[in-house]
Amino acid sequence: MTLPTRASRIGLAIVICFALAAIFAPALARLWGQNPYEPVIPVGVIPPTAPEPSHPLGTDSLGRDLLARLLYGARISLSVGVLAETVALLLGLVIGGIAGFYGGWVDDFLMRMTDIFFSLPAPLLALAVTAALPDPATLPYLRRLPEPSLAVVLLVLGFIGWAGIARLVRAQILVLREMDYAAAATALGARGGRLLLRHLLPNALAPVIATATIGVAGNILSEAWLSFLGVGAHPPLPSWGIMITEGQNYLTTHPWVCIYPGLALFSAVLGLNLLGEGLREAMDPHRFALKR
Amino acid sequence: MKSYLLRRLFGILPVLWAVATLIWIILFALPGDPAAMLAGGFRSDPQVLERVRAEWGLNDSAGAQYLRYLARVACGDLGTSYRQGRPVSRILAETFPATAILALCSMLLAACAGVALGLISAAWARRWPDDLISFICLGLISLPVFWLGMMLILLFASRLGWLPVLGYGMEGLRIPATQIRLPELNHLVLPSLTLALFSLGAICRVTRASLLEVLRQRYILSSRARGMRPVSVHLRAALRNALIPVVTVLGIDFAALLGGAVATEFVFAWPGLGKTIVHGIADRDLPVVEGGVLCLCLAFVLVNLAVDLCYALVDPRVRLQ
Repeated sequence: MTLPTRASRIGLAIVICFALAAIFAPALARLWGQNPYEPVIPVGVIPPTAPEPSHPLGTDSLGRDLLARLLYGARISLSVGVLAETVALLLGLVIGGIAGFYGGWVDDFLMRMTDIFFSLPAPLLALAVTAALPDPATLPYLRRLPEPSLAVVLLVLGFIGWAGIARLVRAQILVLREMDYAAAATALGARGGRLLLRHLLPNALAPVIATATIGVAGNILSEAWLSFLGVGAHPPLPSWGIMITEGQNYLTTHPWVCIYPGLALFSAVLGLNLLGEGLREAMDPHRFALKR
Repeated sequence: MKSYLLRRLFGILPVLWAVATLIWIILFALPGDPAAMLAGGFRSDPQVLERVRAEWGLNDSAGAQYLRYLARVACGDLGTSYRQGRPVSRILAETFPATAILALCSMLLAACAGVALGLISAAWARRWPDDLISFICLGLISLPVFWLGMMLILLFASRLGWLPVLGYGMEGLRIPATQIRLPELNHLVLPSLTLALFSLGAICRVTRASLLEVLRQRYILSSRARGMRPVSVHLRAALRNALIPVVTVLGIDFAALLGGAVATEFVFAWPGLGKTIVHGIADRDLPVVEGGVLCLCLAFVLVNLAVDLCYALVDPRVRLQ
């Protein structure tokens, strides 16, 4: 499958750039000798410094190299975005798949549940849950993970974001289970779970992937938003949202501390949105009719 | 119509029940001792803890506590703020008008600008104005709203000095909504512009898509054949029919708008619900946070009900039954 528009190919390029930056962040930061977790000047709060050769984008208010923190921030953003969407995807596939496949009261019950979730303002729920949780480092199970605060954010976003995917999957399954190949599989002895898992769900995935790509973009924005409000990632993690919060006091005097993390956030989300739009268009059966 | 309204109002109840239950789970069932939270600085004193438990009925079974909580919420009692010692409902009532004004202004701004841009985009579909507008809209959707607000502050308030930075000042909390005068309105410009830019993208995209769909209909062809001017075809024949999905998006997008409002109010120190919620988070003042969220959820659900009622206004074919 090729991406249909130039915009979507640009989106893919942006996403690949950010993925590479995230993967090779430590190696890249070492190029100009940085360790993004350690303030270069460890005592006290100092005004951020302007860009210079040893700090290509300057430093933040603790003397930490901004570019290095941005690179590490890409790791946080992308991993939280993708993992949260994976959680949402799994839930959506299971709930939507079961509802569409079994029908009857199971379908009714699951879809009413989905409706309720759909009619709730998702960002506010995420805020309510993350704000109320005690320090993630004290939570059972989660505290053994490397970054408990990020685990909380991605689980909350995943558990809130599944409703749209569940609806999409259910609609797909309703169509697919009436197809001839489903009848053929049934005739060959595939039943229940096997038919659903091996034959129907894989074919329902295509339109879901476009939605999930845009969902990743939304999750990245939500993570930054929650971190900005002080309930997402915990400092000193270099989350872009935290970096913007920390730069807020220097907005008028040293604006770049705020500008760069926001630009990084914006371009990553824009890339994912462009890619998602392209995928959606590529999988749209009406595409050829709409072509110029 | 009346029975429809009644049925829809009842339909809201399970949603509110779900939110209230979720909040109860958050407040009382998640790890952490609510008594310790309520006791604040005295949490190490077992006597105080015991008294708090007795006072709040924390020794009862979970089921009894849950039912009592539901009864309290149904009566509009959302608990008492840990920090301010006042009923949460009163705090919310004081701050809600500011949020409502902000949300309303930005929604209006976003709807007008979004529909206008969508019209332009559809009129020049697949040519450069359309490409440009589509790209701008996708850009606006991808912007983190709190960062957008800060950039607008930087540009218009700090560098150009045209507009005031912060909400209506420290006194703002005490100004009732009815007494906001014109000088206060320029405090409203930047926050509502921020929020409007944030919601504009989605509205414009839906208007465009929906218009393109409608413009393919036969009755548009016949309007054109009868010599209607292209402008009239778009504005009078197509737009009204194209507005239904736009109205839906206005309702759904209201959730994002409220979420954005929380961050925007914080950035602009706008004395509304959102700022109250963020300060509640910083103070670990949970009843305020959860009450605020419940209040915003209620606003969201009611707006969506209003949106459904609007269908009948926009589209005379829709009969509400």
